[in-house]
Amino acid sequence: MTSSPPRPRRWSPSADLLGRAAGPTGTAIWVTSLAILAVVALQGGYYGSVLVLGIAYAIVTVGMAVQIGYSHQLAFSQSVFMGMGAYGVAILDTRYGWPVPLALPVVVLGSGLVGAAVGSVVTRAPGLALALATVLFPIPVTTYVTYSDYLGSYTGIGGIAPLWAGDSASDSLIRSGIASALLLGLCVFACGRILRSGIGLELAVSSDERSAGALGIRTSRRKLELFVLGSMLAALGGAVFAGTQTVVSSDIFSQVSELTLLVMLFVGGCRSLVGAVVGAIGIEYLAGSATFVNTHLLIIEGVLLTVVLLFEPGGLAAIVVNAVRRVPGSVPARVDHGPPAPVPRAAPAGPVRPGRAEGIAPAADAPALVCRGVSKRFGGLVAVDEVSLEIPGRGLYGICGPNGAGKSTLLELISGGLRLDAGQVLVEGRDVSRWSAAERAQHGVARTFQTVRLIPHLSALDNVAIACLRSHRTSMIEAVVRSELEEARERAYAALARVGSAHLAAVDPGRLTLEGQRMVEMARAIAAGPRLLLLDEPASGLSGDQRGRLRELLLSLGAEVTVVVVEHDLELLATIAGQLFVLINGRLRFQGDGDGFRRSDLVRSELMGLVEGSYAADPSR
Amino acid sequence: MTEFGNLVLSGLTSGAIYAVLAVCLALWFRVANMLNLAAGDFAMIGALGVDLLVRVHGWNLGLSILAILVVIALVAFAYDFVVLRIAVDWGRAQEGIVAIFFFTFALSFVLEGIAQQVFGTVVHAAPALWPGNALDFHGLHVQRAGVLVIGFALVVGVGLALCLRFTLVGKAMAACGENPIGARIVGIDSRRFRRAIFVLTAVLAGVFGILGSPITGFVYNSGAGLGLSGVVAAAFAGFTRPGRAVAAGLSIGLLESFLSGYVNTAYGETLLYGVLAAVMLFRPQLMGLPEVAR
Amino acid sequence: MVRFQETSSGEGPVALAVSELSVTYGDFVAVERASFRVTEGECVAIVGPNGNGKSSIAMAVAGLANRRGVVELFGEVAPANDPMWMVSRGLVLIPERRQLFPNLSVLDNITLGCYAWTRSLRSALRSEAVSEALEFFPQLGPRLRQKAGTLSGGEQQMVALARGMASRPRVLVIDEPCLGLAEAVSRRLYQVLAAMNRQGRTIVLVEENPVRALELSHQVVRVQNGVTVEVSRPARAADRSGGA
Repeated sequence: MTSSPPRPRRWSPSADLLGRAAGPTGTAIWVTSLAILAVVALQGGYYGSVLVLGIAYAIVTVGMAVQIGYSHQLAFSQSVFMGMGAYGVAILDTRYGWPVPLALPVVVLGSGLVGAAVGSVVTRAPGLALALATVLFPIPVTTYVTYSDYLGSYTGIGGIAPLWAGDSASDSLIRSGIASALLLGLCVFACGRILRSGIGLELAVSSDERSAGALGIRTSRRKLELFVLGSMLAALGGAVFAGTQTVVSSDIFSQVSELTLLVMLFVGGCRSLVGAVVGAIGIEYLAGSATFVNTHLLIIEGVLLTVVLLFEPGGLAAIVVNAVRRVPGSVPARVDHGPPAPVPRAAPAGPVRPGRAEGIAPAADAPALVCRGVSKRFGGLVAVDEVSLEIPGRGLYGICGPNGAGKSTLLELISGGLRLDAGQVLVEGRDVSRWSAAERAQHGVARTFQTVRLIPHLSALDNVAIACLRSHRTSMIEAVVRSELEEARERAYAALARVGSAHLAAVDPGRLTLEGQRMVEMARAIAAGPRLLLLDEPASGLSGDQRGRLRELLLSLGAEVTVVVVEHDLELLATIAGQLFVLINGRLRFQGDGDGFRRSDLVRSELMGLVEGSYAADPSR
Repeated sequence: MTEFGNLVLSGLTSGAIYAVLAVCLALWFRVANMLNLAAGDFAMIGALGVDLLVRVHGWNLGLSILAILVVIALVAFAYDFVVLRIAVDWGRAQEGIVAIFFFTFALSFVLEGIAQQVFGTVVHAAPALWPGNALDFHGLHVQRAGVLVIGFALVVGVGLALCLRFTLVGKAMAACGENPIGARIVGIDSRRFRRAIFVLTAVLAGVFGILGSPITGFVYNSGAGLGLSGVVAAAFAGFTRPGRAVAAGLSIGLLESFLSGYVNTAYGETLLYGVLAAVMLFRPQLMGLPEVAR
Repeated sequence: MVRFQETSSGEGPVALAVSELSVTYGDFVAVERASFRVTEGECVAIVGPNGNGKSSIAMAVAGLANRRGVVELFGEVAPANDPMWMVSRGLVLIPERRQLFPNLSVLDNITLGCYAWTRSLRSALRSEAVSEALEFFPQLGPRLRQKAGTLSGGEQQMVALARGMASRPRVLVIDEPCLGLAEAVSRRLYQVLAAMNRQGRTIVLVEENPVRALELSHQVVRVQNGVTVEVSRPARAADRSGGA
């Protein structure tokens, strides 16, 4: 903790409020029954209609909490999809006479398809481009709607049948309110289940492209699913809006409504489903209550948003949780995500498990790793220049060389983080040159990073558990039905125990020492049971004792799998690695065992900067 | 030919509006790594404030302009002093994209809310600084206010670009955005720079509002749309290059003008945003976004 | 063999005096009541295991971390949290991880070091400080127009040192100069540091590797768990082997 010492954190908003008091089912039931109670209690009066409007917005913000708050996919297209849902229901009902309960699922599914089409384009762009492009959506759509007579131009479409018609206007409102509360509960349940499944962990990592790739997660699919989820919930919210307000106009598309949605989300708590619901209904209530609040709504929203961002980015949800925490004997302070992780007492600290990649039988006797003429250029600079090397199988292999020699680049080329310009990479006899990082990871290639890349907001255990998920092929819909989180956590715990860091399981990565972070990352790399383990400067920044422990760990890992270590600590490498490779200016200049390495003139002059005397023999090292 | 010339002129005029806002955004992003989504609102305050003082209170035009610019500077200073100081200097801001978007977005809400109370909801404009009918050269029309805005955009953009390239203070500004800790290490007061540039860009936006409001007229919520077009133009300058921001703003204006002139009058704007979104999505590297924003 | 030796540099005027320095982050105490003084022209090493508060001392002395206690620079009490004050009076930090401006050119990075004493680009470029810094690192010559972020780790460390030199330092505080660098590059850097020290610049060196630090230092401050456990004056390797 030299430059960034760990700061004590109050509440890690890793989990949603859900995770503390009840599971997704319980929370959904609570939310639904409270909403229904309130709808009934308000008797369909003015405040009843405000509440129902709030529920419609809450359905949208719940989707945003998953999409924006939890997964950092900053898309500003919700108001467009909300409008799509509202206008869809309005047109099907008023023009074609469909009953609203029938129109609603059709419109939501239709919006999902549109979301999939749009999402397949926009989610490929980098984060900021996605945000900026979606910011532009409302403008042309609003223009189109206000020009279109078919869509009722400025006045919009009125006279939509209520979601659930009753005897009188107020009766209809109560019934529609109950229906929308049930829909809201359903959304909270589904989103809660998704966050609490293994996919929840994948979503948390999906904004970090490099880590995700190294963990075998295909982010493109998760990003698309997220976008579709957000779009469908927005459309559902819009449909409920139409079915309860009975009139829609182009206001719903406007950027102002998009901004209001964001204020609702952040004030309530962007990483909490309940927070999103409370934020939406609360802001809607503020707007609908006192005249003063209504006329000064922009100011109040702006100030609220500023205060929340400044003092508690977790929003109201975090404030409540922190307050509850301070009461002794209340909800215990947990750093982990979701339900309590069962900590298996007798965790099998056994060997690294065999690879999980199914259906790929390694070619018999094929060497673990072969590089043939591997090259990489950055502009005019040749970072890796026709490197060919062969690593037969189990054991420790070291790569060293001066700074900028291309060591890390070579590691990236092997792991798939960078594309080859020329040459081939073969893992266990299979040519993986054209594979993505995620595919290689699933084929049993795991790695650590030079600067540790752990996911903030997730406990160390969950950081490791991400690598243990088998859910890469499952979809979000399946995640609603079943969760494999517990199983993944057990495997993760075993991996942590394997590197001797089981005691760190519940700790937030921000509070770990550098050694702890490296160990957690190491556990993450071995947790999936890789057959080829790539370590980028594992000893960098560690002290003498810590290096000693690392040395033991590396030796024991080397007995089980193929370990390739890039390192500056030559003495460490020379004593543990069965074979060493020296890269200088992108070229492979030496390969051989530890003794040959120490005797090599090249190594002595280029790496140790020695002309006479032996650095390795320095007794003080 | 005349039609083409007029399209170019109107394109340059609206392009200059994007350009000025883009310059303000780019300069502040360069120093503070945040987007100032409230820049358009400062322009709105400039225009409507001067209008209010002159039309309702009967103040002298020069005095009103001075007074409003002072007010804008004070508001910007106060915002930085209270909110950004806590957010950035105390380390309360969340890292990354959230901070980039949301802090000044909240300010924009507040400013619009206040403007709604003070200025009402009717479209107004500051009195023209160069009064008279549109200039006419052999069938080519250009509004006088448009000439002022184009000139202002060029002067500010080129001036800032030169300053960033050829002065140590300009380089120090860039350093603040590149690495605030590194800047403090070499003795650059990055906090003071951030504050100064925030105030400066707010005032520049205010001046622009006063110069340019006769073209379109402003209402309390014009700022959001203006700010957004500024963001888009600035995005094509990688958010950090004032010189390129001017070029990007003018090009977007020309594109819009040609699209509505030659392709479809009613949906010119729609087409424009479609093209811009497509470029952002399919050729994000054209924007040259800085590392922090990715 | 460690023996105490009265070096001439042990007596001269005090450049930097630190007393009872404490640094806390929230409820985490990084440094507790550290005290040491540095004589002008001397090289002092702050050594100790990682995570024991060495860098926090460097950051706090430079004014970049919240601190309690008194730091005096050439007899003047330095205000806390004011790195600008420190730089303008000649204490320059070469921080851990270098903290360069990756998208600015190498030359811009170095000239920005001059911001400590000038606002004019012309006088910065013509100054002796910049030309001297470039002379120290001839390797940087061909790369002056390149973006600093594209350099290798060793070259970046050279840029960081050159930037520090451009600030006209009287006291250089250097934090882990060799972190993540290959052995050969580290050795080269140490030669440069020795040369700077010979020119009369006071150097405070934060170093995890005590052996390397001893090659250069007149005085060693050992830090453990945020506390200065030992201040000693062993003979320098440079003096022992060089015979001078």
